[in-house]
Amino acid sequence: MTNWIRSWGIVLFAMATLIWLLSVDWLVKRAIVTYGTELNGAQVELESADLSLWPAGLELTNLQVTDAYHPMFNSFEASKISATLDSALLLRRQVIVEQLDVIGVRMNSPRVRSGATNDQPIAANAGFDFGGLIPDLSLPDMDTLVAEAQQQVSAEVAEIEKEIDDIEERWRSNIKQVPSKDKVAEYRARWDQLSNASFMEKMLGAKELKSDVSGDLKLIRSFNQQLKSDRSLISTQITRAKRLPNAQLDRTMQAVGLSTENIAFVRAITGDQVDQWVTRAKTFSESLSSNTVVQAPSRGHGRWVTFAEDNPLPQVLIRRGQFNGALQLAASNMAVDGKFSNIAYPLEGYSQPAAVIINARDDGNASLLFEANIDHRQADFSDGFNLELMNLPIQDVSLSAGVENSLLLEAASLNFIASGHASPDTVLANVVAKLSDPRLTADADLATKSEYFLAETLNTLDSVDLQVNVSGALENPVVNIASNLDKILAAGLKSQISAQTTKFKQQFTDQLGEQTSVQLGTLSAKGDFLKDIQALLNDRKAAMPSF
Amino acid sequence: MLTLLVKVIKALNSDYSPAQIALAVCLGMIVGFPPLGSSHNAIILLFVLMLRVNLGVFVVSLGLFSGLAYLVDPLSESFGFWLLHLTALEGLWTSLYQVSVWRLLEYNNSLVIGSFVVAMLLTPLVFLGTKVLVVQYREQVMTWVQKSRFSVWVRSGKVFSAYQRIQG
Repeated sequence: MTNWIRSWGIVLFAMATLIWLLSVDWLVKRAIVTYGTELNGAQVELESADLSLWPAGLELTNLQVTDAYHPMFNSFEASKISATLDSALLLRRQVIVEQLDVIGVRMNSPRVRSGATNDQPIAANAGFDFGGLIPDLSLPDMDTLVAEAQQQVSAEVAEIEKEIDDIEERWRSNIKQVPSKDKVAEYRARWDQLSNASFMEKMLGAKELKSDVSGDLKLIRSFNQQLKSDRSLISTQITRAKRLPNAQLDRTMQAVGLSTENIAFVRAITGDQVDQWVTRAKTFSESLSSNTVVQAPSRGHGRWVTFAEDNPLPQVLIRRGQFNGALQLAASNMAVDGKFSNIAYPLEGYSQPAAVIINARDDGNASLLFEANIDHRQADFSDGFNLELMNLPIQDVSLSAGVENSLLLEAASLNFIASGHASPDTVLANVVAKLSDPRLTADADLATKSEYFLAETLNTLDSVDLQVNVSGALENPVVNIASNLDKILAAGLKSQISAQTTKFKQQFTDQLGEQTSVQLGTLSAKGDFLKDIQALLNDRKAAMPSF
Repeated sequence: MLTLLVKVIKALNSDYSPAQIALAVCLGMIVGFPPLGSSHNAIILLFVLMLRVNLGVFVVSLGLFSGLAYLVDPLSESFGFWLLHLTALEGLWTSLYQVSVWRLLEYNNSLVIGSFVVAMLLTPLVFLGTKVLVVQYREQVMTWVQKSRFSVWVRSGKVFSAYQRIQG
C-alpha cells in the first residue's frame, strides 16, 4: 500500500494550503484595491483586510475611495467595515451577510494627496452658463438690425405689391368683358325704336332686348361682388404693409433678447438635472429586477441550471447592517448614522423588502432624513422613498461654468423635501425646495451682465422656491417644474431693460420708417385703380335700359 | 515538451506498475475534460500529489485531454444540459442542490457535469486500455528495442549519453 502513497506530495499540498492561508488576506486586499480602482476610475486604498474562514467573516480597515471628479477628496471613507458571512452558503457561491457594520464613514472628505490615476481623465463639473439663459442686457448694433429689418420689410412689401399687380392684371382682362359705350348706346337706340313699334313688335323686341341686357347686367353684378372682395383684400394688405415696421420691431426685439416674454430660467437650469433624476430613478427601479434571458453559453462555459430550494436565498444578501460616521454636505459637517436590511440581489429572490434609513444632523440645526423601501417580491414592484434635508447651510458655491468663479453663491440655507413612489406602470414624485436668504456675488472682472443681473435680483429675495412634480407612466413621465424665480427674474429684467427698449424702439422705428416710407407710399397708391373700375361699372349699369 | 516526452518514456521503462501509469492518464483526463477552474479539480490534484502516480504522464494526459475537451465542448455541454433536465434524475439533482458541498462542486453547471460524466464513462476504458498498452509496450517494444542492433548502436552514441544526462 505504501507503494501508492507519495509522502512529499502530501507535504507539498499542506505547504501550498498554508501559504494560501497566510497570503489570503493580502490577496483579498490586492483584489479590492486593484478591481476597486479600475471600477472607480480613481484610487481605492485599503490599509488591511482580514478574512476568517470559520466562521466566515471579512474585516476591512481604513478603506478610502477617491472621488474620480475631485481627486483631492474621497467620495467614501470608512475606518472599519466588518461583515459576518454564512460559511455554508458561501460554498454555494451565495454571499449572505448576516451583519454588516460600517464604522467611521466619511463622505466628501479631503485627502492628503491626490487619488487620481494616470489613465483616467478627470471630467470637470460643467456648472451653468447663465449667459444663455437670461437675455443679454447689452444693446445690439442698431444699423445692422435696421438693415436686416429693412430687407425683411422690403421683401414682404414686394410680395404684397406683386399680389396687387396680379389683381390689377386680372381686372384689365375683366374690363374687356364689360359692355362698351357703343353697346350701351345700341341698347338705348333699340329701346327707343320699340316705343314707336306695334304691340307685337314691342313684345318680341322687348323680350329680345331684355335677354341681351340682363346677361350684361349679371356680368356687371358679378364684377361688382368680385371688386368688393378685391378692394377689401387690397385694403387689408396695404394696412398690413403699413404695420410691417412695427411688427418687425417686435420680431427684432424678441430675436435680440430685449423681450421679457417666456423666461424659463429655472426650467433651463434644473430641467436637465430633473430629467436625469427621473431617468435614473426609472432605470434604477427597472434594474432592481433581474431579467433572466436564456443565452447559449460561450465556449468553455456551461449553463447554470437551478432547482427548487427548501429555503431559497438570493445570490447576494445583506440581512442587517448599520453604519455611522460623518457626512460633509455643502457647508455642513453632519454626524450620520443609518440602518439597512434585506439588501438582496436579485431583489425578487428574497422574501422580505429591502429597507434603508439614514439620519444625519450637525451642530447647528441642519438635518437629513432618508427612508427608502424597495419591494420587489411580486412582479408588480413597489419602490418608495422619502428625503428631508432641512436648514442646510450653503457657502461659497461657484455657479458659473468652467473654472472661473465669476458668479458665487456666498451664503444661503436650503430646505429640500422629496418623496416618490414607483411601480411597474406609474411613477409619482414630488420635490419641494426652498433656498432662503441667498447672497450672490458677481466678480467685477469676470462676470457677464447676465450674471450681474442674476446676482442683483437674487440678493433682493428672501427665498427662491422650486417645485418639481413627476407623474404618469413610468415609461414616459410628465415633469412639471415651477418656481417663483422665473417671475421675479422676468419682472426684474423688464425694469432693467425698459429704458433701453424704449430708446431702442424709437430709434428703430424712426430709421426703419425713413427707409421704407417711399416703398410704402407707392404701395398705398397701388389700390387706386379699383376706384376707376368701380366708377366704370356704376356708369355702365346706370346707362343700361331698365325693364 | 521534449523533457515531458522523455519523462513519459522513462515512466514506461521504469518500475511504475502499469496500473499507476494508467491511473495517471485517467486522472489527467478527469482533470482535463471539465473546465480547469472547476472546484472538483482541486480534490483530484490532491489525489495526484498524494498517490504515487507518474506526474509526467499526468501532465501529458492533462494537456492532451484539455485540447480534446475544447474540441468536444459543445457536445459535452449539450449532454450535461440534457442530463440536468432528465426527468428521471430530477429528484437526485434537487436533493443535491440542497447540499452546499455539491453546489461548490458545480454539478449544476451543464459543461462541468457533462464533461465530468463523459470523463468518468471513459475512465474504465482508458484505464484498461492504457494498462494493456503499457504491458504490451514493455513486453514487446521495450524488449525488442533493448535487444536490437540499432538500440545497441544508439546506446553507445552521444544522443543516448545526452538522454541519460537529462534523466539525471
